[in-house]
Amino acid sequence: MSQLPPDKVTLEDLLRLKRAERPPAEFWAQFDRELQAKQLAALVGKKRWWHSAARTLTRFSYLPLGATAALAFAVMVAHQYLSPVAEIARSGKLPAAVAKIAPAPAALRTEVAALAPSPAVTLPEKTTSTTVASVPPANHSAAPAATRTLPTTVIWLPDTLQATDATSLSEHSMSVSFADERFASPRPASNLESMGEVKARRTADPLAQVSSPTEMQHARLLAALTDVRLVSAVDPVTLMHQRLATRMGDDGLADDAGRFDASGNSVSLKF
Amino acid sequence: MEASKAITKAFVANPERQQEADADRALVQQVQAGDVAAFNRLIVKYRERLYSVIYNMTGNREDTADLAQDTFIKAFQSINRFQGHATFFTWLYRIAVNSTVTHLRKNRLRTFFSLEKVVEEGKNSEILAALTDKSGAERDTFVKELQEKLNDAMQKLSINHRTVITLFEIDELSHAEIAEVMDCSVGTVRSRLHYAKQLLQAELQPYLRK
Repeated sequence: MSQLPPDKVTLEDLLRLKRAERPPAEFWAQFDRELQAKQLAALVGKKRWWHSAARTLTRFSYLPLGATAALAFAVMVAHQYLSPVAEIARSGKLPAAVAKIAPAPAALRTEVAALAPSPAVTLPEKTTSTTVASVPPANHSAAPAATRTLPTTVIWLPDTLQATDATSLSEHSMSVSFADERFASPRPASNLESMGEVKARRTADPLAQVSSPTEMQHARLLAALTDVRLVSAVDPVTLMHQRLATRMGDDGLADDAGRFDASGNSVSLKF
Repeated sequence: MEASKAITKAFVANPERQQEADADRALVQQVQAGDVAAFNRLIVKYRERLYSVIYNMTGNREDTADLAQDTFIKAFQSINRFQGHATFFTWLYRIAVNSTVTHLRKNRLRTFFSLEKVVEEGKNSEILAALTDKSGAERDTFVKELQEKLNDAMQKLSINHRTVITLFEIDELSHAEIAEVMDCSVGTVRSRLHYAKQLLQAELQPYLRK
């Protein structure tokens, strides 16, 4: 009956037995019924919107890296080109905008100079002259030469100022925004001439001192245009170090406190 | 690419396979034209082979039935994307193998086996006769034990090795066809096959007689 030698069974023969593991014939009828039901369900089943979205995203994922980089670059350039700063620069309003800063009323300049800390505003002669040169000459006659440089010395912060503390810097920025608010004000300059009026306004109406968001934005835009470093003159690395040190200190304190637990007569210490 | 060339060569050498592939292509074109009955003919043609592949990879009857049905549904849903670069059966096998591999990876920790009965006919009877001289209930017990041992040995292989050994030894696909199905080179298929056989031989040593 057996034609295979009884002493010779190979691995292939054993695996051939696996091939003989088959379901009975009646199994296929049930298989077909189930398959048909699933097929119908698949045909009738409505596709959700995220299926098509996922397919679209998958299609985009095949974009080569270079194309993606080019797309990102294009978006960046477009963003740069359409930004408000670039728009102002293109429209040629830059000299006019800068000119607005220069003809500040003399009294206000004095006020701004008084607000600004005196040691910090000592500028090298070179910086001052550069900034004055950028102001249109037509407005120079409006104020004496000595006072004309004052607001600009506050606005154009020198490199040496970066080492000063945050308080003096905030005073600077406050004074600058204050000055900007005055410059941008449509009221006649005579209203702001007297120092007393300014002081009265400062004490009587504190809310009025807060510049509106549009004015702040305007000031920031102007600052960006004229390459002014108004914001944080403190070294960002130093700031980060300070923040990190504070955070770590707080965390460490909380952690240490959490390790000790005293209940009744026992003290437990977690490691 | 290398696998496709090898398959083309195999078709040139084996005209029957070429005829089969042409017949499948005609049926696929009918399905693509909207003839659902043509797809039913493809199901009837391939369901047993597909079931065998999935069953030997999973070792579980219930999962196999579900996976085979899912494979046919996936194939039906995406048949319009089948462009005929590969043969229909390698395309279908690829869907089945990918679905099974995903299923096995997902349920790696679940090890439940339900085995089909061995159909004793022709060569199988000879092999069993060579392995045992028992008869009746004792023979059935021996066959069941051998079946479990074989399944254990298969499950000890990695998914890739198990797939290769299933496709080559059980479903009798060529190296090139396996490479096409598994999306790897023919060399990789050969090395996996060699390694898998070594492992199986070590596992099934008590049953092997030389």
